Amino acid sequence: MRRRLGWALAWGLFVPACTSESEALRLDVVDVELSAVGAEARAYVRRCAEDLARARASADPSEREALALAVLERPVPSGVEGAELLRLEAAEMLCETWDSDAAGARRAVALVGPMLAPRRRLPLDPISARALVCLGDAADRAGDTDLAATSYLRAIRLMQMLQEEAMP
Amino acid sequence: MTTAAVGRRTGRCPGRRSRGLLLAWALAAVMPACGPRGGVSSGPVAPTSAESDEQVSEPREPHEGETAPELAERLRRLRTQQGEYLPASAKDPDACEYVCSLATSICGVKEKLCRLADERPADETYQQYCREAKLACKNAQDNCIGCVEALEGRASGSP
Repeated sequence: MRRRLGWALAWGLFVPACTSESEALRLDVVDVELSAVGAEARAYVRRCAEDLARARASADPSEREALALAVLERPVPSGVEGAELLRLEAAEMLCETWDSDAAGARRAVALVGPMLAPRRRLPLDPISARALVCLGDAADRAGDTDLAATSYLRAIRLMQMLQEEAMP
Repeated sequence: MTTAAVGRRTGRCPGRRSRGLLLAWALAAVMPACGPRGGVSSGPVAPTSAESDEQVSEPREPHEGETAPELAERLRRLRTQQGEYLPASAKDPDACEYVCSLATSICGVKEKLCRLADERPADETYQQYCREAKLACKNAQDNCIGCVEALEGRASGSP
């Protein structure tokens, strides 16, 4: 009886430790392609793509921020497949823009962290990898090294998947 | 490395959707030749519902022999065939550029992760992360080299 209790106690201590580590590193991916069916959906994708292109080309951080925020704030109409890609790219852009000091880094973590949470399925795309790396950078700057390390490792695993997929 | 260093390729790998089909076709073409009695030139043979298990297992082609020279000859032919079954992406220089840019990114992130691990030498979790990252970096670089070599092999016509 005492032995059984010992095993149960050991297992009880072991399982949460394992669960928390694997949960932090969980990486569920989904293969998505951006497509839009219907006039409203196409207009949404076109506007987002234009905003992102302008943001990428802009040297002004405040303009970049405004354009990326506009993408995130725009409601996604029905008929848009893979809208998460556009939103992730906007979030990654904001993350890079904000991650210049500790306060900005914390803001970046607050924005990008939930979008890349381990329980979420991430698009199998370089955009997800870039966002994970930026989350790692921001978390490191904000002092959350555990989040930084797990984000970096998830980014590496995702890039491995991308590489395997692209291998001849 | 900045996050921008991770490949900006947002388009999908050309011919990716057909890769499963190509692989299935290549396997279907190669698998019968891999069996101990399979002929290299034979196509896939599907049993009909009228055939019994015994009938299916019957050799349908002349026995190629199992001696060392015969096996060596069969291996040579299979290698030649394997080269022919390489998907179209093997001929695409952009595919290798993408594979190699991912290797660079993976190794760049490995540096960041291992720097965190170096700051915590007693933390086994971080050390484990760093080891995994190092292995991923090495594998990614090997994949890059393999991709370029396959491309060069195709360009020079050697299998």
